[in-house]
Amino acid sequence: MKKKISILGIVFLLITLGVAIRSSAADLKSVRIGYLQNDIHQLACWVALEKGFYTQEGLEVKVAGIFKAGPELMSAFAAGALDMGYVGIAPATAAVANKAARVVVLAQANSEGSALVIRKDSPAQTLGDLKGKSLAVPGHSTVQDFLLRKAIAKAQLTDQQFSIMVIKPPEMIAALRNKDIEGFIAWEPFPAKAATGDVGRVLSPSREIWPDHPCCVLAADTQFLGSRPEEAKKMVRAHVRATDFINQHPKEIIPIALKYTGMDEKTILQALKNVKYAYALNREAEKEYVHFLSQWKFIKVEDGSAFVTRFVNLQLLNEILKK
Amino acid sequence: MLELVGLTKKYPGKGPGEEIPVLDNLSCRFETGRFISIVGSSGCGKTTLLRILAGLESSSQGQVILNGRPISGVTDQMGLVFQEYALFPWRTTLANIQMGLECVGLERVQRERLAREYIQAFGLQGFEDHYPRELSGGMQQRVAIARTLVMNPRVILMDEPFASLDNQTRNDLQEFLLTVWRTRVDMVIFVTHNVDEAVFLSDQILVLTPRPARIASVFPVDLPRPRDRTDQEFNTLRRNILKILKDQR
Amino acid sequence: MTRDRILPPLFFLLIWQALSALEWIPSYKLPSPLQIVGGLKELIVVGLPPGHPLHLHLLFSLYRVGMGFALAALVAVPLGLSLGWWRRWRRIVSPLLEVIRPIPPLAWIPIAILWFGIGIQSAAFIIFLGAFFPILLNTVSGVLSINPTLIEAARTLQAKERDIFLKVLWPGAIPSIFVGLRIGMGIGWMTLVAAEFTGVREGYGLGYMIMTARDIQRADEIVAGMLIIGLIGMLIDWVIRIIERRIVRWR
Repeated sequence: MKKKISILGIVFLLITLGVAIRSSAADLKSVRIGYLQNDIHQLACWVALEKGFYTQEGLEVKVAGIFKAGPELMSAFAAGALDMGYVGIAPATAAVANKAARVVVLAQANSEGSALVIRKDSPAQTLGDLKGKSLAVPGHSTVQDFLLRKAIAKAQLTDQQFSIMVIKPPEMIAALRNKDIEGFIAWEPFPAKAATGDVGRVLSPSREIWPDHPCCVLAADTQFLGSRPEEAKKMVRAHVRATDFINQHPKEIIPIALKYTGMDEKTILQALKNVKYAYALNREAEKEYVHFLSQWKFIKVEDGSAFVTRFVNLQLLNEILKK
Repeated sequence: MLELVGLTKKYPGKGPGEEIPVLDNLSCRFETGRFISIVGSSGCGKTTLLRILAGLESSSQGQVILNGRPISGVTDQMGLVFQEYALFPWRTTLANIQMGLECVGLERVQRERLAREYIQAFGLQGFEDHYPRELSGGMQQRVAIARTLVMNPRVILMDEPFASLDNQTRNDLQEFLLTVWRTRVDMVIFVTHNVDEAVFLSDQILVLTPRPARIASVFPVDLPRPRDRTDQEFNTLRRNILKILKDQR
Repeated sequence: MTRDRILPPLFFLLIWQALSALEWIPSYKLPSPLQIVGGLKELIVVGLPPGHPLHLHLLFSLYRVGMGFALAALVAVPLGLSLGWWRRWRRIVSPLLEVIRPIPPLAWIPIAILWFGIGIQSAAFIIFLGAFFPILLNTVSGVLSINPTLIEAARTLQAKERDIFLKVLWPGAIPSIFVGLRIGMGIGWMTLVAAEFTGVREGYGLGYMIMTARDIQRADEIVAGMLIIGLIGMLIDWVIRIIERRIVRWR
């Protein structure tokens, strides 16, 4: 009798656990989006919110999360907490390749826009001069992590010759000031802030590491895309309008950037110089992300091309652009 | 010779300025080499008296004078055997006996040798490396006595040391105690509520009144040793003392 | 008897594996037992980040916990003995301790980084805080629980204060101290993962490994890492208990 009860108990426990894990609350009215904290690459999202581009499309958009870095945002996708998100293409690739989240990329948000920053009084002139030192990235498999490793490979050095640490961008500048790290690589406006705050100087902007590299993208949960394609399309259209607005009205976007980053104008102006806002995504570039992530053993992808075809779905974007 | 002069002890009471008298102006004299028992009803203050002699507590008034010198606080002239043995549970028999010798700084080889002598004398061979929890009550008390005696105090104070033992063990230990004591010149002051035990062991019996304790009577015991519990004089004395105690209630 | 200990977990694992295989539990949320084993294999063979094998992560984490824990014990035991012995000292120090104690070690992370920078010192500090209080409190209680008669017996045997400390308080409190050590080590090991989130300079550490697994969204490696942490924690506790049994033979 005691045995039967314990068996029933175990089964009950497992079923409860399973149900709890499976269920995730999806709000059927609003679109839940997420973006990265103080990431000026995602200005289009902020512009769309401030200028009402979403509401003009008839969408009710809820900011369901602001994240410290890409991997955190992808975890939220995995938990079913987001419908769409602005995130680095590298963490998105890793999450999808590792079958953690099911998202597709609908458009690019920006290209370039990161920089490797070192301590202001560091004598280093090249990456090679930083051998043996600590460098911080916002997380493994982020675009910045990717760029750093690419730069290391380009300089014909190895990762083992550096001490790569993970620190979230808001804490990077303090770590640089305290000399805990010799340098960091992060998205704007953090490099700009380090410069204007007189704590660091830019060693290489990301466009020198890899010109025109895609950075942040607008991604959508596949379930959301499948069940509410019209709303997804409207989201993409709002994104396109916002991106055009940024390029056409460079002065008007500044207060929006100031509001969402909480930083000063000098920093923002310097940051904006390093970022390109464009919504057309280069598939070949994404193939390179897949290739290198596989090479560094962060993901295992058999057929890179097939993966990219599934992962990057620019159909809605192209439809919008044709009109 | 041990002299108590006007020994008084009062504890502070619950209310302000309130005092609870425990010992009231005790004065008496004990000769060296004697076995003295102190009997009295429970809670009369016998233990307090012993603790004051041992230096664990101080008197409110009065003095304790040993061989012409007043003593206060803990001294090496007094040894105390506790009712609950108070053996250190983390020490073996051998280590327990050596505790005091360690504290006075005796060298390791010497103190171990001394301890082993006592182990022999006290019939504890084979139990040197045993821990207290592995020993019977009677053995534990023997270790406790050895531990105190090895320090060679002038006066051995014993606080109802055999109270928690069964009859047979108690009788054995009483005889054992006499054997051990006979070869030494110390004075023993033995507190007990067991009148039979007092008559069996002592040269002198002090009977205390209930709290606050005063000396009710002093009985010299001249009976030859070894004492015979069936002896008429033994029992007369016992009855007298019991009567005094009974009348006190 | 051993049948009772093996069958229920085995049964549990089988049901779990079945539910996962049926996709009833989605694999990216909770990997199946087999996937976890696969993840464990990869952690050992390939390492995460790749090139950083599991055993090195383990060594570094043990080192950090060891440092924090050793420091906590070295400070807490003497302090606890003295607090247990001197009532006045206890009255003075207690309020301060009682205010600090409820603060979770993890809340100290920002301060730790400010004081010690990023690296083993801040991680060891967090672990120190986690282990310190259980050891301290159990040491104090160990002293307070010593039968006062034993202390009096020592005094009648001519023990000075130094003798009482070394020959009575210390051995008398050891059983309680061991309880504190076990609890302290348990908490220290638990705070390890979060403490390593403050940043790991050397590129090794179980917390760092799990964080990386989270970054690249490998749930199987996350759970495998958690499993290792649990197993090692259990092993450490077991070792402490063995040492305790050797030292405290008198119980």
